[in-house]
Amino acid sequence: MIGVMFGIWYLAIAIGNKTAGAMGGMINEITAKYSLSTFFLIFTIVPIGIALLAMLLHPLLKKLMHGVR
Amino acid sequence: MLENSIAASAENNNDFFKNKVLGHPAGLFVLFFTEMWERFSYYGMRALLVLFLISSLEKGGWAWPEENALALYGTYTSLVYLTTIMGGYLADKYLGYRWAVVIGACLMTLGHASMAVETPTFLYIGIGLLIFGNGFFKPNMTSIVSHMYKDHPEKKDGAYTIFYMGVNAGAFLGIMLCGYIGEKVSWSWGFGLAGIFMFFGMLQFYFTQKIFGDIGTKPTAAENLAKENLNDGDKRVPFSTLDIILMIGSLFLGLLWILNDPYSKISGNNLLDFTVAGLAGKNFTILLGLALFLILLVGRITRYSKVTRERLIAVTIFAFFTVFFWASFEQAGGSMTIFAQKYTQRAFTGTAANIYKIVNTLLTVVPLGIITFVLWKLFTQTFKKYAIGNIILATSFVVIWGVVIWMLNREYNAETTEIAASWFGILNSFFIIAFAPLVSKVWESKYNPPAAFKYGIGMTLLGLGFASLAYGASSIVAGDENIKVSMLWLV
Repeated sequence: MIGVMFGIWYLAIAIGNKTAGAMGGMINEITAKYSLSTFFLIFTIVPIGIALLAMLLHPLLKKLMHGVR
Repeated sequence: MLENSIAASAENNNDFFKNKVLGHPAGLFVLFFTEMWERFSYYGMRALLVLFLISSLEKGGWAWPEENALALYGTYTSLVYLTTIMGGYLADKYLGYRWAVVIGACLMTLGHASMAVETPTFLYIGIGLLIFGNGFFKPNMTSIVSHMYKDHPEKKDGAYTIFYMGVNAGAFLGIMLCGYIGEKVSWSWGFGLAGIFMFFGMLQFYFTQKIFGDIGTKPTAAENLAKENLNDGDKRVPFSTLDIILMIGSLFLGLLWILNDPYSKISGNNLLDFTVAGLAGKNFTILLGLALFLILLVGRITRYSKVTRERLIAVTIFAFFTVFFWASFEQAGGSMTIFAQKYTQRAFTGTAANIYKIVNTLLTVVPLGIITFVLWKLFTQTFKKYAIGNIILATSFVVIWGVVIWMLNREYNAETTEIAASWFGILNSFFIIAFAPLVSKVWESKYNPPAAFKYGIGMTLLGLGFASLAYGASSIVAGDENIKVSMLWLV
């Protein structure tokens, strides 16, 4: 179970890193079509959105973890 | 026989906890310095890679389009994390943590050396070696720390804090020095410097490893058997044939996609040049890979008992969030560096230049001074027993001080200063070093928020950082690179 957990965890980091590269690669495309602000705004809205989602899900996560962490 | 070895190991452990530095066993600081030099080279190289690839030919770069450079960068940084799964497994079963760390460090030293050659073939070989080296190194360093504190769980949090200070100190110095030398002197010296310190870190670890007693030595057959039988309070779920097929399938498709992305962009040959039901081949491949993985995950999760199942679901949700964290955070080495290089006003004269010089000096000398003090403390404890390791470590510090003094001297003698584009990366790690103790105090107090909230706060701050960048960038007319934004927005 620990193995599965770490597997999922590192896999998530790997996917995140690849996504970072892929999204970063779009810098010129987005700048040309909209503006550089739009490009950075994506990285403003996405983390804050996820932050809100994480806090909303907190009661559920707490129940699921059964006292760990 | 068995009793003897147990007695010997107990003795080792006592010895291990006897030599204390700042309230922690000296061994922790050996790991601290090994990890510090490893991160020095990792972040130092990373700070340079994208810049080097996109820089114009007359600046010695390869003038790649940004998209290609970031495709390669993304593939590199993601594979680095994927190989940790393999490295952790091999060390657990066969190699032992220590040998895995030494092998990983060797591979990475070779990787950095190979990148310093600066031809495409050697660059790819170098990146490949770094990916595998990191897979052996990274997970097993953490394992050694956690085994070291197996019987002292109350000290574990403190130990990890110290360990991560090493991580950030290394990142900080690496980005600053490799970045500076790479951008201003020559790319290959920048890449080479990263390799040299990786090598110092490895030698230091190799010659001091006896300090860990019997932690992380090669696992014996008996120990493996004991681990197999160890019941962690839950029934084991063996992998079925279907599981294995799904796992190999998703791994194969995922790797194919990850490698094809930079390959197709750089060489113009798309390996996945087909369409399925209107989907481009590469999109179809990655979606199929993800689908197989989800089937595998759901299949496994449903077979565990209720408590374990729900915990795994929670971990999966956290992992899902983590994807977004890294996708944003990793812009630091990619698009933010590009932003800094292309759009910001980094050349200074007069007063502004002097302010930068002083800030730069303080930022370099103060953290390095603190680390050198820790180093001294370690030497007073371990010099008698581990002279070779200590001398190697000391040499690496003499070299690093030499490089720092040379850099500062060069800057003070320059009329105009142009801040290196990679310089901004250091501020990030500097703030972590500065605020980490404060934050961990808050977490320890009664205001300790639950994990989801900590995560939420972190993500909000990250988002706000990007918001200020977006605001700063809004004054740029799209596509016009002549108007450069004030660099303040990057901080």
